[in-house]
Amino acid sequence: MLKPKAISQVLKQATTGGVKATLLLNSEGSPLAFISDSDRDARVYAAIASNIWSTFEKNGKNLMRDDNLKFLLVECEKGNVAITTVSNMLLCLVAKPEVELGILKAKTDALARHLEEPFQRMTTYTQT
Amino acid sequence: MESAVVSVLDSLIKSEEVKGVLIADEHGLCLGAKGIVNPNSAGFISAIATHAKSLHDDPNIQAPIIKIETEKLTILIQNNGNYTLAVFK
Amino acid sequence: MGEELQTYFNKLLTRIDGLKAVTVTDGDGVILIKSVSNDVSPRVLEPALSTTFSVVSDQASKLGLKKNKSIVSLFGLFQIVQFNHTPLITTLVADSGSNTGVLLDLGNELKEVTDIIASALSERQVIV
Repeated sequence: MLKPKAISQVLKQATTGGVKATLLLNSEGSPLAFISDSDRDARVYAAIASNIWSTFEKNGKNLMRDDNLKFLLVECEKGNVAITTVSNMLLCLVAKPEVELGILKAKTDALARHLEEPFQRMTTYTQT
Repeated sequence: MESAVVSVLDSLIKSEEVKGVLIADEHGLCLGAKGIVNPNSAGFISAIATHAKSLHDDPNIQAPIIKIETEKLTILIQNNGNYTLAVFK
Repeated sequence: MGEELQTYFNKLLTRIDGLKAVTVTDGDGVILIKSVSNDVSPRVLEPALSTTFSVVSDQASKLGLKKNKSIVSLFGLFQIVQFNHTPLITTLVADSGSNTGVLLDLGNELKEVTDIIASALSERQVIV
């Protein structure tokens, strides 16, 4: 089992070098755990990120039946957002514009891999 | 988490003749850049490397190093499968 | 100018490995110019691709990171890179293995082109 505190510790590892926030969201878009400068920002990021994800996920299914959305990169004037899945949750990183997209994606992927295993085990356990 | 990339870039740029350095991932996205290199050139630089690689298909040979010489600079580019490194001297 | 523009767009598919479709649409998904490869689903031309991007881009612009510039969606088999070229939308559909960095660069290159298309459109409206 992954303790809530341990999850926050893992998320915190990513908030270096210009990454402003790291969030783990459930399938409804509610933040399960997050590191962010402000709670309010975290809720805004969470709501919008999960909306964007589900929209593109649907888009993709319409375009090509068997293909799944794996990663989203949202580029804005004053920052970038990376979103990917971890088990049945969403992982979202919000970064300042000086964080290059490559490193943002790499950090997101690394975090996702790190979190995937314990959460998969949990999901399997609760299903049996 | 990015410290490994940062330290590679730092150690390369320390060399006197190195004016710029860039590392791109397999998607052509910039992992890091220092010196005179524009991070936005990551896509273009990695495309050069992958195209050069496709010129010879032998998996036993190390990936080619592309050398671009301009009047003022020499640019060295190599792709190792996952990352592309560019050094501007 | 129309013919030159179409030639330029057609050439893009050969210039960039794995690029399958380029479309410039207005906010409603009406196609202004397109170049589509034979081996891609004609569904890439559906207005939904643009209209959903419009909605999502607006949401992304509310993240507190100023205006949304682009969104990259990576699927297993393909990727969609879309640009907010207000009032137009540029959509690139490519293989998942295509160089995303190059596609993002292309978007910036196309901004000049979409600006020309947009001003040509507004001139036409004034005359009518």
